[in-house]
Amino acid sequence: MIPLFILVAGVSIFEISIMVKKKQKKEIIVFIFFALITLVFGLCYFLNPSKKSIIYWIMNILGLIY
Amino acid sequence: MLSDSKKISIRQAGFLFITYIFTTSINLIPIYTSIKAKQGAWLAPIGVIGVFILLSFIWQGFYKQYTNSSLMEIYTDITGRFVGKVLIILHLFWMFLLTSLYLRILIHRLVESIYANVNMDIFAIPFLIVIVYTLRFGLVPLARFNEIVFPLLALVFYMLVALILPNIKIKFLTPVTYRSIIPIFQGGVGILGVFAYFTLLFIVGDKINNKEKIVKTTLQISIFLVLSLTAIISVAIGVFSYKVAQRVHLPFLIAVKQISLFNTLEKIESAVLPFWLLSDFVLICFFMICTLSLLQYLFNLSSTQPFINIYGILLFILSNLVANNFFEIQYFFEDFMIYVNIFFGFILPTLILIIGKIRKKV
Repeated sequence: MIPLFILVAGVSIFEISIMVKKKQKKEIIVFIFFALITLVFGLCYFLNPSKKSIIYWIMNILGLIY
Repeated sequence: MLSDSKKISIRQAGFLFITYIFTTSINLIPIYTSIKAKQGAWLAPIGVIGVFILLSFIWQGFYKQYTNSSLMEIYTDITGRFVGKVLIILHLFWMFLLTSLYLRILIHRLVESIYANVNMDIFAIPFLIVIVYTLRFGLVPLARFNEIVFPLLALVFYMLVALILPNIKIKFLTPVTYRSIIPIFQGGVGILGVFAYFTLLFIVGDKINNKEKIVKTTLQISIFLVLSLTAIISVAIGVFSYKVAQRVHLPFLIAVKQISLFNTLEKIESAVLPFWLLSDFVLICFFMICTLSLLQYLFNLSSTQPFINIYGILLFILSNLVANNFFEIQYFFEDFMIYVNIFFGFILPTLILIIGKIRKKV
C-alpha cells in the first residue's frame, strides 16, 4: 500500500506542478478528484485483495446471481 | 471533407475497430455462440451482419449534419445539455469498467494459457507502462501502428485457421436445419454485443476524416468480419464439438494447441500469443483514449495529457478489483455486458437519430 501512496503522490506532484505553471485550475481540481478515487480503490484492494469483485456487486445488485 | 494530418481516416478507424474486437471475438464469442446456437453457431455472424451495416447508415445519417463532431457533441446537441451530460457520464462509467475488464481478460489469458501460477501483476505493470507511454502521442500514432499490427494479426490468424483445418470435423458443424434459425439469431446477439463497439469509434469522431465514407468502409470490413468470426467459431466448435467449446475457457486457443504439422511443428500457441497481445494493446490504448475524451468533454478540459499517468494507476487497481476469475467474466459477458453494449452501441444511437429527426436536427 505504501508504494501506491508514493506513486500517486509522485505522479500528482509532477502533474499538478505542470498544471500550476499553465494555470489550469479546473484540470487541477479534476486531477485531485481522480487521484483521491485512485487512492480509495487502492485502499479497498490492498486492505483485502480477495474481497468480492466489482462484477459480483453489479450482478448482485441487478439480481443476476450466478 | 478536407483531410487533416492530426486526424485518422475512416479506413484507419475501421482497421482499429477490427483489431480491438479481436480479443472479445477470440475469448468470449465462441463460448457464447456455442451455448446459444450449438452446432449452428458458425452461422451466427452471417445472421447479424445486416444489423451492423444498418448501424453504419445511422452514423452516416448523423455525420451528414454534424460533419466534424464527436459522439458527445452530437448527443448533447440533439438531446439537450442535461440529458447529454447524463449519457456521457453513463458512457464514462461503462468505459472505465470495460477497459479494466479487458486488461483483466488479457492477463487471465496469459496466465491460463502459458504462464500458469505466475503473479498477474508481473504482466499488468509493464503492459500499462508501455500503454501510458504510447498514449502521450495520441490517436494518430496508434492508428498508424495498427496499420502494421492489423495485417500481421490477420496473416497469423488465417495461417492458424489453415493449419487447424485438418482437425475440423464436419459432423460437429452439422446438422443445421430450419430449427436452427432461432438459436442462430440468439447466438448472433453475442456478436452484436461486440459489433456495438463500432459506436465507440465516434467518441473520437471529431478526429476522424472522410466520414462520408462510413457505409462504404463498413461494407468492406463487414466481409472480413463475417469471414473471420465464422472461422473463429468454426474452429472452436469444429475441433471439439459445441458441447466441449461451451465448457472450456479460450476454446480457440485450445484448438490452436492441437496443431501438429508432420509431428514436428507443435506448441505454436506461445509463438502466436504475442500477436494477440498486440490486439489487446490496441484495444486498451483505444478504450483509454475514449475514456479520456469523454472526461475531457464532460469537464471541458483543455488537455487530457495530465490524466494519463493517474488513469494508468487507477486502471491497474480496477483490473484487480473488477473480477476474481474467468467464470465471473464469462457470466458477466453473457448476462449483462452484451445487452449494455447493444444499448450503448445500437439502441442509443438509433433513439438519438429518431429524436434528432423529430427535432429536425439531423
